[in-house]
Parts: sequence; C-alpha cells; structure tokens
Amino acid sequence: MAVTEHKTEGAPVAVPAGWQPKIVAFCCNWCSYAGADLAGTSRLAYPPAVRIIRVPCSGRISPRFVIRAFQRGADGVLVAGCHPGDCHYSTGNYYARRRFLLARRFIEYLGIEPERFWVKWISGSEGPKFAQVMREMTEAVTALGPNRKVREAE
Amino acid sequence: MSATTANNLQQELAQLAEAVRARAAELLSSGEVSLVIGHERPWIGSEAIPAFVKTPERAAELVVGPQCAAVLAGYLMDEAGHGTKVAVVARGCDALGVRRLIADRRVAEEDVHVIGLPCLGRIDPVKLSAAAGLESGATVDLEFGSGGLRIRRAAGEEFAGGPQLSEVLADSCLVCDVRKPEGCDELLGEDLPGLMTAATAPPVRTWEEWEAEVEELASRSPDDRYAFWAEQFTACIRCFACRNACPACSCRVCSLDSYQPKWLGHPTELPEQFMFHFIRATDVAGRCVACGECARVCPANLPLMYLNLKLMHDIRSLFGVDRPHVPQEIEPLGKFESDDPEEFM
Repeated sequence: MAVTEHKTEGAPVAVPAGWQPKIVAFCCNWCSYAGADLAGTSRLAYPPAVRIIRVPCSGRISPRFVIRAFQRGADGVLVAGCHPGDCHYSTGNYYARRRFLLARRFIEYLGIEPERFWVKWISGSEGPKFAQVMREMTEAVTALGPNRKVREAE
Repeated sequence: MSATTANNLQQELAQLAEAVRARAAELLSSGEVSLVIGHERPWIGSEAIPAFVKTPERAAELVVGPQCAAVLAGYLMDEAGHGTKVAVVARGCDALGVRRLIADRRVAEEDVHVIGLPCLGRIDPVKLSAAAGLESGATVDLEFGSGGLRIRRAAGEEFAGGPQLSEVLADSCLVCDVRKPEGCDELLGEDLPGLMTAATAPPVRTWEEWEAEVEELASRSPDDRYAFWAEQFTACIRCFACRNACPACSCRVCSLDSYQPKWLGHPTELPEQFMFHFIRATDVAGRCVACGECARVCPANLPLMYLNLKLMHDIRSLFGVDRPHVPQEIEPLGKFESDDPEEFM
C-alpha cells in the first residue's frame, strides 16, 4: 500500500493512501439532526466522513461517549445540539454546555488533540451550517491524520 | 517549631485522643450511636488502620494524629442507614466527605453523628519513607519533637530525629483549608490552643501553587501529555481502590460493573485504562472534596489528584465556584447559568 508522510505535532505518522477520516457526530434529535436532514434535502455537499448518531438531546451525551468513539476508531468526534434557549426540553443543552466546557479541556489535558473533538450548536434550520462544520472539521482532522490515541487494536 | 510548642502539640494530641475515646465511649454507652468509626493501632507501615468501635471498652483503642491517614467518610456508605446512628471521628476531609454523601442523598443526615477534631495533616507514607530512609512498609511510630518529627522504628526503642511534618504531609493536606473541620455535630479540642492555632494557620502551600503543577503539564504538547498519562495508566492494575475509597464516587450500582452497556473490558490495555480513569475522574467532577484518598489508596501511586485538580481548576475558572471541593446542595455540573461561557457557537 502506498504510504505518505503526515505531519502531526509529534512524530510523522504513516498514513495509508486514500485514507479518509471517520468522524462520529452525536446530533440531538430536535435541532442538529434536523439540521443534518436539511443539509441533505437541500442537496448540500459535505464530506462523507461523518457518521451521525441521533440522541434525544445534547444533555443525553456523557463525555465517556466521546472516549468510546475514539476507542472504537473515530478520528474526530462532534457533539451537536440546539442553541442555548432553543432546547426542546428547555434546559438540556445548558447542562451539556457546562459538561462539555469541562470535558473538552479534560480530553485535551489527557493528550488528545483539541481539533479532534468539537462541540457546536446547530439548529434545525441551519443545514448550511451543518455542512460547513462538517467540511471544516473533516479538513482539520484530515490535517492531523488518523487518530491512534486511546484507540483499540483492530 | 520551638521545643515548648512541639511538646505542647504532642501533649495536646494525647489530650485530644483522650477526649475522642471518652466521647466515643459516652456515645456508645448511652446508646446514641451503635458504631464509632475512627482509627486504631497497629500501624500498617506508618499508617493507623480504620477502627470500627461497637463497645465502650474498645473506644480506648482509638488514636488520633498525623498517622491516621485513611479518610473515613467512605465507610459510611456501608455502615450508615441500618436503623441506628453511626458516629465518625472526622478531620476536615472526613467532614467534607460526610457532607458530600449527605448532599448526594447517599447517607441520611440523621443517621450520622460527626465528631469533628482539629487536624495537623496526614502523613504520606511514600514521602515519609523517602525522607526518613525507611524500608518500604516499615512500621514506625511518630511524635512531635523540638526539631520536627521524631521517629521510633520499633517498640521499646527511643524516638530519634526525623523530617519536618510539612515535608512528609500528603499533597492534599498541604493545601487544606479545613483542618478545623466545618459542619460537624460537635467539635472536640477547642480547649487545646496549640492544636487549634496549628489547625487554623494558613496552609503550607496555596491551591494556586499546586495547580501550577497541573498547568505545567497542560502546557506540554498533546503528544507529551498523552505519553505522560499513558505511562501512568500503564502502571494501573485496575484494582478500583480509587473508586471504592472515594466519598464522592458513591453510586449503589456502578456503571463500571455493568455488562450492558459494558464500559470496561477485562484486559488492562491502554485504551481501557484511559476510559477507566476518564470515567472515574469525570464522574466525580464538581463533587470531588479533594481529600486525596484516591491517590493515597492507589497501590501504583498514580497522581490521580492531577486529574481531579484539573477539573477543579476549570470549574473554578469557568463557573466562578470559589471552593469547588466544598460540597454544595447542588453541585456545579448539576446546575447552569444562562450566561455561562460560550465557545460552541
């Protein structure tokens, strides 16, 4: 297999040719999932790297889900929910905001690159934003190369 | 430390121990409590073991002092709530742990009687062994002398010179601001001026100085940080001692013991170790009382407080919680403000 050199902050990592990142996106049912839906029905192009997991609310997402995604082969993880004030359950995203303000710093502290873990508020009417976030994230994660930290052997 | 102060401290510790024994015997013989949790000999290494005293006669075996290392609050999870009251001999950290368990509705306030006492800090056996050149696990006795601590290596021998107390205190005791415990049912030792002065003096170091160690680690590159934690977590044998000892880690059914979903596999491989320590630390985020018991009981001496401390540091700076280790009715992650920092737009 042809191999190219990829620069990360550490040692160069061998990247298989044609490698594409896997990005796991946890999307809340009411806003971000609808936003992704809108991106699709609007025929907006965004990279096929993303795998969406629908959850009832961003407040449903435990930080450990993020580590589990990295464990099982994700190169990047996105947590997406309704904008503050727009939560279907009124306050779920406010709790999520506190939780992920901490979790993002903590995951970074353990040594995972911050570019691999994003949190974004994406509403049901923001199809273009969903596509834009996925493009930007795919670009950032592609630049880092495959994730090998906390990843289980295949 | 002058000779008189040291002698006074030694004397006052003896008086405090007497007061604890008397009070424990009183509570037990009046039937007010059915159990007193404290510390007793023998030392295991340089530490006293937890004591579960059920008769007034046994109360005479209770001891106090820097060698009483174990934080006792966690034992209430098993011992309280069986219909009778349980008393716990509490330094500041024990008292915080009890308040944590009560705030978490894990232990009922009316089931516990907290006997508070002033504390000089707990020794860290690893630091003591290094400072005094002890063999690992050596059983020693300590007392306060004029030049610092004095050590007796075997019964019948003389006490001889040793390190200063501040050199061998556990990390969490160095920053402790509750050596005079808060929120107890009663406080012993208020008539002992030397102890009370020592317990209300400023801590040896500030939280900021301790957190600077965390910030140094946080300032390294992601790969260096990962390498640091990978090395630490590789040493973990996943005995769950940190989880079991923690007064904030108190669920009756732990998600780490569940098979569906199965958060941890059996092999102690690195990704699993990251998962374990990530879950342990984040699940007590905002509720950690900074007693340092997780780090103390760790057989691999992992710097577990570096995880808790990072979370506490961020809780303080992000949510403006002044003393995140002091239990509140609703913990920082159990509430929100509509104007919390916003970085996810």
